[in-house]
Amino acid sequence: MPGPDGTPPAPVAGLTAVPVTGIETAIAERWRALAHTMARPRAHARVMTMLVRVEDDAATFAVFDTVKQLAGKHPIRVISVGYNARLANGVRAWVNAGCAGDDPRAVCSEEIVLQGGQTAGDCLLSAVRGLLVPDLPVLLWWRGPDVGASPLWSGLAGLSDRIIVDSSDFGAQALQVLHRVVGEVGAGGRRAVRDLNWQRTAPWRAALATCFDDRAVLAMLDALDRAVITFSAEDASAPPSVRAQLVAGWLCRCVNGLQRHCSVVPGPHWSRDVGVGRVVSIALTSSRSKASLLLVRKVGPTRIDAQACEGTGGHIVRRWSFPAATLTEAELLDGCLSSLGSDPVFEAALQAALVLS
Amino acid sequence: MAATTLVNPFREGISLEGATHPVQLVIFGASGDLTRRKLLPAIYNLVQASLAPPAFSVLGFARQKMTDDDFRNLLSQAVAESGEVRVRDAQALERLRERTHYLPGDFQDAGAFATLKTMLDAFDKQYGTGGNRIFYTATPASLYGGIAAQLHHAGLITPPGGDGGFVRMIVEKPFGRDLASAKALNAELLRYMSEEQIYRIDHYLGKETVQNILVLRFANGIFEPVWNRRYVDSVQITVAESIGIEGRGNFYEETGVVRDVIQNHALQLMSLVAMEPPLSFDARDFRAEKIRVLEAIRPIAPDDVPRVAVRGQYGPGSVAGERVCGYREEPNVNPVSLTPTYAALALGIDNWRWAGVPFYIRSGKRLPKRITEIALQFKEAPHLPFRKSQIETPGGNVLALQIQPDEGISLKFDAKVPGPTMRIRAVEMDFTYGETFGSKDASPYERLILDCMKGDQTLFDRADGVEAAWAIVDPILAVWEADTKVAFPNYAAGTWGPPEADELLARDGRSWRRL
Repeated sequence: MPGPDGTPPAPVAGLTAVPVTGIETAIAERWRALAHTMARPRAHARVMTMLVRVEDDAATFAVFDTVKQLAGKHPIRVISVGYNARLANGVRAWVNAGCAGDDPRAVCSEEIVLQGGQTAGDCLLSAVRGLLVPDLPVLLWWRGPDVGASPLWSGLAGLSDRIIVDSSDFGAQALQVLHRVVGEVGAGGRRAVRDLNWQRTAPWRAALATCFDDRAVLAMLDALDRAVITFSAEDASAPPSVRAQLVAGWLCRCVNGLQRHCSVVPGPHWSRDVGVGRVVSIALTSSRSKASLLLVRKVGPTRIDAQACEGTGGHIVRRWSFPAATLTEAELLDGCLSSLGSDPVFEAALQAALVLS
Repeated sequence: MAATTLVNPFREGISLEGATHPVQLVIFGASGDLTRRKLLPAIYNLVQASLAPPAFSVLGFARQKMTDDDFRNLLSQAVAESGEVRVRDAQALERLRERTHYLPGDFQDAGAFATLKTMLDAFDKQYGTGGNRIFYTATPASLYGGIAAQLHHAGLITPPGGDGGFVRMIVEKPFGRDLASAKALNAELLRYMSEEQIYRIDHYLGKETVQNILVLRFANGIFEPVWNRRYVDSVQITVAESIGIEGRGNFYEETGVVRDVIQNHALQLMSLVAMEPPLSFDARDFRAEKIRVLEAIRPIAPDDVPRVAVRGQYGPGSVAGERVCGYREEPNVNPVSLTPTYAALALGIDNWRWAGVPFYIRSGKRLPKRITEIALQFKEAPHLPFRKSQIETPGGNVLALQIQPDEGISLKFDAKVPGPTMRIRAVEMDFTYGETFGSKDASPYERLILDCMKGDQTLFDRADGVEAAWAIVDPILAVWEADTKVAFPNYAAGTWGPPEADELLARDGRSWRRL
């Protein structure tokens, strides 16, 4: 319900409406009020500013849930930015500040929500610019497919050191869009791009790497010259999923010569149990022997089972089982916060995936 | 022909937080207190967090008769009772239980070690652990040498770099009870394995905050320039415990505070705060600098002991509002015991950086609170343009690095009290790791076992490091153990130690920090 002065209702419960010029004051007052409830005085630690582009009203609740989980683990200032069709012009702001956990392990964070009408892009950016925590890294989580097209994109990306996108939102030309973003944003070397979709492949990459940590399996690598990556699909004619393509690119980037015989294929029967687009198996085989390494997704509990077979008789020489629970959006983002530099392995995998496609 | 080293091409960019090489962990003393309270919860945490390698198994070895199922139940109980377990995960526990075994045997019985070898070889095939083994000695120190010998005779110790997989041995403190016994133990272990296979554990070095001392010093440009005799007046290291000996009378009677805390934990902290910057944070560079500073600590002549060292033993008193008995009234303690439960030392370092700066160390049982910290007291400003009456809290700047219970850093400095008059009062700026990074820290044992799995010796002691630390405290122990005329108890439980400890600093015009 709108406030008595016409202020739009808070997008999420718990936020307090404030004028844009009063945001810092309101947060400081909030901290002062909280200080009286704390066992001892504290100095606030902050490690970064996180900008979140909220693509539409419907996404607001999902964003807040994710941000809440992140803010409980990292002392960050989160600034959510988005358009609100109900606002004619100008920018509206809401704030909250609070701590999660018990003293002395309580993690304290600040949340600022900025919304503007469809023509308020410049005003939103100017508000954001004045709210960044000095000297600390700025991370932009860009939600939605319109990367590069939205008027907010270049402004927010220009303020950020690290940009997180999700290529699963990008549609049919996802690899090309991702490549363009990496090229544009990464030019000059100051900023880096991370892809949540790439982050989702981490369990597969970690499992495969661990298999080859075994010296006996590593010795088979020269013989393994064919790769098939299967992804869950609704039918046998489905185009390759971006996630599977990135894994294929990564494999080819790691093993010379594999690109000639590396394929990404749909696995229609998997879509009963596994979300469409997910990688469900990786098979590395040999054209010269019976050597193979097969990794397959299993459920109950969700895991990746792997087995390696030797080249002469095809007998199983090693078996592994890797826990691989589905990662939430907050966990994926958390993984992206762990390091701020560029990810050369991701960029090389993307390049290789484009060549394969 | 030189062997070709194969490199795993898939490993680049994949987090190496966890251990990757398959391994079997054998715990000697598997039925004991350390195993139950610390090791099993740490191993469970590693498995639960997927930090242990997928090909991993645990084998407990001890005299006590137990079956695999008994030991698995001990594991479940240890995990259920431990406050260090972060996530209760029934599936992870079951995964670990399935790979946990037990072998009852005597540490002097060659036949038991032959059986151990047979079992480990079979588990290599069953679990794909490739002959890699870590032996953990959670036993009395007197058994370490014998266990190493038995392992050697059973063919369970292979030289590093061979085709038979890696063999590492984690050795618990106390590492000897004086310099001579530490040297003898080093020599005995080195007869059967090389230094790179021996992991001498001091769990203090596995604490996040201890490692953060190095980051604070060497990753920040603002601290190191003032980290020397020109700006630092003195350094105080406090390792205080409010608890008593917790039923470990037999152990403590043989040990005392110097062997239990000063020789290892306190000197570790001193070496970290005083060491020169290492070239890198790898095991070779880091340990070399740590040992170098220990070797630069001024040797204490027997005649100097009364001047630089104070000992104490607690009598009855009250701690945290509860009446507690004196040390001599504790179970399994000699009623006329002369074992010190408190020690305070004034040490000097003879090098360019620290010449003339005293390092005061104190540690004790039944002190008013549990706290471990290192405090750098800075020299006062050379000239104060204020009247003395305007300064309400004199004392200069203090940078305190808190190790436990709340890991953090605080800086005490002077600020003007708001108002029309000039009044200056000390304020403290406090930084707590938990508030900044959340509650992520692994227990020290977890971190150190993981490091051993990875083959990283950085946070483990080297033979000469252990010996250098013993060389510092040996003269003190010798003088104190020869002098039986000490009047114990000399401090009441719940106080900050004997009055002589205050006099130790008062002679230099200083006092202990009020904690």
